[in-house]
Amino acid sequence: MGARIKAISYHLPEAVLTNDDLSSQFPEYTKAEILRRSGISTRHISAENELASDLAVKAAEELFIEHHIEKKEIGFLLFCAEVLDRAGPATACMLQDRIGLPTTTGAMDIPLGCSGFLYGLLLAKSLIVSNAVDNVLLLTGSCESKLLHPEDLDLRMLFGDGMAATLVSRSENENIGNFIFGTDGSGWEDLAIRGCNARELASAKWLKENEEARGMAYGRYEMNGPAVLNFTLKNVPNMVKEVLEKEHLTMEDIDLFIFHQASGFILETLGKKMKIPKEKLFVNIREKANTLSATVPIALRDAMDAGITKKGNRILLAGFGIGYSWGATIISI
Amino acid sequence: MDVNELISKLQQEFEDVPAGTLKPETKLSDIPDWSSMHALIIIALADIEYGVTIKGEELRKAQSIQELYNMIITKQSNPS
Repeated sequence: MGARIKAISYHLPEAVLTNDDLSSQFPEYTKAEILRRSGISTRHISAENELASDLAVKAAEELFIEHHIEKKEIGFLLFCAEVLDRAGPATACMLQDRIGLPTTTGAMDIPLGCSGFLYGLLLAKSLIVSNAVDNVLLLTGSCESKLLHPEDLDLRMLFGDGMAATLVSRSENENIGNFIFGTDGSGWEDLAIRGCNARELASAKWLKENEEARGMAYGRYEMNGPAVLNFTLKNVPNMVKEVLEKEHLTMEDIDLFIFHQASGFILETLGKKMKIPKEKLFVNIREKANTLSATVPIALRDAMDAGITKKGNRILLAGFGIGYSWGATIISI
Repeated sequence: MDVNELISKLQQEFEDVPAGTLKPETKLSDIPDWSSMHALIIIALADIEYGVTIKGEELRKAQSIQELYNMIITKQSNPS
């Protein structure tokens, strides 16, 4: 007995931010330069009052309809996002009611970013193999556009909004392998949401300073690009090596590598450093952007839809980023 | 390796920089259209090609390509 990813659907908000839009706001950069720097041509952006939980309701609905899943089958709901509706109750609790899941459903938030899908998958598998439940609804994604300063081109060209809904179910064989994970909280300041939180209370000064940016009342996402790149170049190759060793496999045994779609440059650099053949490193960031914990399931779904993955393939999944936090596993489909 | 090998690798990475414009004495900040992206490209190149980690603040201290080269050589001989 084991667990497997049974179905994935995702929801992207309708509005898009194109490189033309960014270039007209930042005339010193052409749209070609923005594409070259980010590897991204369009990002989906949530509506004014649309939060991660609102995207989650839509993604869950799409999953149930598309794959003919009955809500009563769900035993556990895991909601992973950094923008939660409130400090309490857990957004997952309100989502149980909004999605219409049975009151016998367990529900928990996972407030992680880019590593979140891997942690969610680890928890979902654990809930199934410990015989707690048969089906876990894992909702992972972001509405991070709300946390980006309008003048911060570096982040605005990378991040988009979106939510993935993944159904993890009990299966006859184990299709989700062992996990490698890790944390280095000493680097938290390299990638963090500053202002408007319990440590840095929303002040009149903050709101005034950010008046032209509509107050930045959700807080502001800040990134130390060089530090994050160094973290990635050090940790991702190590994590891949460790997860392969744990499964007694080599790079050649992997049919497809699906990494968190951080940026076009980071994916290209990781591919080069780890000598992954281009056709084995899946990249769909151009149209989907960096949606934090939604990128890995969105990429997996897109790879399956494009016929890139075949039954029996081994796929290495890896997430890494804010925390610092990272995780990887190898699944078979 | 010598500084010219580093220059030729940088030249390959910086698509917008006309051939022959990079010299050992060229200041990094004088590279045409110098941006945060160039810093990331140099950090990635140092890691992949030379096996050394350069922090953002260290890169800011390197005035010229020659100084960047010296930093890479020093780091290669003193692995941290």
